Amino acid sequence: MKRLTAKQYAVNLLDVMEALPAKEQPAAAQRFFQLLQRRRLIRLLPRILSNLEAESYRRAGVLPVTARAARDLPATTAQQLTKQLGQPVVLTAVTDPTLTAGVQFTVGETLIDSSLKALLTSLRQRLTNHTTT
Amino acid sequence: MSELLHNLGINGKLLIASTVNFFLLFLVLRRFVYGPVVRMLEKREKTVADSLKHSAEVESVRNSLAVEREKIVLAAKTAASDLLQEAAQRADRLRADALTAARTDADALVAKTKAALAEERAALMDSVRHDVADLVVTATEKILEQKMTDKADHALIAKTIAQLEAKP
Repeated sequence: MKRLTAKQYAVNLLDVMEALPAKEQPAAAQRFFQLLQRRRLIRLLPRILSNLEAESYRRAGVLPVTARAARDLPATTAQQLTKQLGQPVVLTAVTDPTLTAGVQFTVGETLIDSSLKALLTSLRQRLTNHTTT
Repeated sequence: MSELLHNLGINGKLLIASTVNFFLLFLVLRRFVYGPVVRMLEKREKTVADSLKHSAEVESVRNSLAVEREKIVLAAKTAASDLLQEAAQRADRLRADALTAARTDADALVAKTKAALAEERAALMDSVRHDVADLVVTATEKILEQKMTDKADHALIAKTIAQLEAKP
């Protein structure tokens, strides 16, 4: 039997979930986990869930964005992102004081880091990597 | 005859007696003096001749020994000269070898010292760079922490959003 990838498992699971009424979806998810256990594929679960989330967002036509900032984000951040990216976004905000200032956006699999921590790290690398002549 | 002898003042009997005496004396001398003296002289002559002959042989041997000695001395001088020359050449070689070895060691020591100094300098520069980087980054971070307000932070976030590109 051909082995499925984590993404294929996620797509199939989402197909099944979308076809079922909402009240039957928990039972279907339970059966899916049991299936993974029987096939000793439970280790794929994190990747399957990640792909499931990405696929569900893709089907819904929204873009998942994670924003990590030192302070609370402005209330209009999601709207600004939607406007800038040209499609609805689902914003997950994480507060990380170690960033000092600025923000880290993760759009899909792309990381855009304009935090002060990243700028200082870059500055430190440029200062220390300068070759002696 | 007798008268003639008488006229000459010669006594015949005395002459005969003298002659007999002479012969007797001659015989006695020949028997007891002349013979031994002659033998002694012959023996001495032979001894002298032997001595002369021996002396000649000795002289010959001495001459040959002198020649041999000259040869030996010459050979010794030649050998000594060769030894001295060889010793001098060997000393020159040893000196040259020692000089070369000393130069090689000195060059190696200089190169090693230069390498160590360069390494130490590089390590020092690296340490200084890291220290300066830490200082600059820490100072910058402190200043920005003090200067960074919510408004400035939000402006920075807005600027970042503005730099995002829409997915096709």
